[in-house]
Amino acid sequence: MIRALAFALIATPAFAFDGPFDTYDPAQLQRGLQVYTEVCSACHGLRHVAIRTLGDADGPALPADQVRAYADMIGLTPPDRFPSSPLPEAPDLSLAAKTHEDGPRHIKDLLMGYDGTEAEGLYGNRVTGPISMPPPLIDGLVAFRDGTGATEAQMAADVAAFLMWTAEPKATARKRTGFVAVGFLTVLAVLLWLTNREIWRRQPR
Amino acid sequence: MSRLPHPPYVPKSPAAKWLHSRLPILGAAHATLMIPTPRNLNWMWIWGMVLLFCLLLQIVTGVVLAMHYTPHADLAFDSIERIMRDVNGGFFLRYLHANGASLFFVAIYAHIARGIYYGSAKAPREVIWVIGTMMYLMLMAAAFTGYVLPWGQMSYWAATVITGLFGAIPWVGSDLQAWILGGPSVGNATLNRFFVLHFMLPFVTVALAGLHIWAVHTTGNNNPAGVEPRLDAGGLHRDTLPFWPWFVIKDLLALVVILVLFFAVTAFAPNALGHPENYVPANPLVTPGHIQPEWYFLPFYAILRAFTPDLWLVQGVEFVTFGAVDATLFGALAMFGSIAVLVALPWLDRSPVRSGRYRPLFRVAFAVLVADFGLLMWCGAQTPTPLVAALSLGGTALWFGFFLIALPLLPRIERTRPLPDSIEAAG
Repeated sequence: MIRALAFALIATPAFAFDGPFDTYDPAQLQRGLQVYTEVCSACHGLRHVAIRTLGDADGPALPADQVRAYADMIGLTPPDRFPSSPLPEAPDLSLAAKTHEDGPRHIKDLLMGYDGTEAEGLYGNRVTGPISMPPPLIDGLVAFRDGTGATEAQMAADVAAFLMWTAEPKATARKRTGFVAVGFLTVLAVLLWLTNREIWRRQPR
Repeated sequence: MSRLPHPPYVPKSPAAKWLHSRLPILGAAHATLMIPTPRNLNWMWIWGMVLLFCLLLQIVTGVVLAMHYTPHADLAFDSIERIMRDVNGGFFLRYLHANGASLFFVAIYAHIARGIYYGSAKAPREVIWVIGTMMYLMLMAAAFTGYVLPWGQMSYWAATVITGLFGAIPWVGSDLQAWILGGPSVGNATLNRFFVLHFMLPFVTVALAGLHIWAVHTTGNNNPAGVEPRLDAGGLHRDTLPFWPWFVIKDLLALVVILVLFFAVTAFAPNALGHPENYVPANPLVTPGHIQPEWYFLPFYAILRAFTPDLWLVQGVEFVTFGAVDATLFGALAMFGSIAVLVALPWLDRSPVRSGRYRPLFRVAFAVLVADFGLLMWCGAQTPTPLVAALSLGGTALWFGFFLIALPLLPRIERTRPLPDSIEAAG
């Protein structure tokens, strides 16, 4: 808890969106969306996420026509939400990045943590122990539209960032509100400090 | 209304005269604002204003959240995600409400600690203290029922563990537990009634806060010197200032500085004080690896877990009561007892001297109590190991030792320092 607080407030962010001043990188979220769509969505759903929000300027910022095209591709309309998990035992990923402290890092480490062993239908993983999900990523599995090289690490980082956005789509708006609030309250605190100093100086003796 | 004389309210405008002769509410407001207040109040006297703000913040944000929340086991979790995603400003409202609970507890623990250290509970202020502890109980009940509403894994299992304590009561336990839950286990009926309680208890707290402030205005404030203001006109003038504007502005200054930090945490680290597991929907079939309450309950959770079945004390009591009191019930009794001794504080502390400033031994005991609270909070967050259990037991012993041994007995051996003649003399 204290660690998380300290991390959020001071530590150097390893993901581009960690610090108070940081925002999501739309290009990275679009790559993450591509990894989700071509790989994860075979089993996992995003039932809390509305397809229209792919157009959010603070999120993947897809142009309106691409949002419509994406909805058409999966047989839905932009106001609809992503489907639930096609594989019932695969957890929904909408909030996956918030279910662990340091969630996006956990997802990235998990995706890259397979040790190559397999026993009783479970796949060995250095982060979680044996899990039923087979290693989903191999180098070059997707062809990123922006030409970024699709290494395993790149895909893992991008989909982890995308899932942080699906879990906390309003993070940027929240930080923006925070700056306004902290700014106004700081000014108010200074005014009250001056007022307080003045009235106590004039207290009747 | 007040023991301390202050200028009477004289209505000036015709409208004010008209209202005053029918309902003297402006006079009551005037009396509240003009009450003579000790000049020497230090910065630990600001928490009341912070607490009043917290109560209003939680009611305002809570009422708006309730307009969008659905108290049903199948819909509660999803309705909160709708608030986070689709309600205008909903993400900020919910984080304000969730972190507002933490601010509430920070403020109330500071307020209570100030009351203990400066002897604010002592005569003639026992009623203020008891009403205050009742509000603390309301706050805990509201925080606990509120934490269940998101219907995540921690919500569900915290409700299961805590209501399970009632099941440990001999003979009537399982019936009582089922009555509280509205069924054999935590379910939709539980969620629904917890929502009703969570909505209702804050309004009970508003009424209690009114009584608390009324009582404070009857006795007047305690102060860091712990001596009463002189009542003759000259003495009263030199010992006190009207509440408005001196203390209102000072309290507001402190409140706004605290709010800068509060908004920074809410905006930049809104989940730092929460548990990630609560973003997993409640699942009665999967018990989380490590069930743990929010930080503000951790000290009492440590006391609850301190009494393990292998302790000779627990085994002895179990033997003597023919098994009616087992380790779980023992822990629950200790937990409720640890709050009961707090309620009884005005009658446990026998020293005629109020302020810890003039009580050298009490100061040491108080420092130990504060450290003990920190130790128990740490223990409550750990996975149970023999070391943590031993530390929890030691911490529990210190807690009860402060209230039941140190407070009644210290006055017999303590040589207090001389009290100042007046607040003015105390500086």
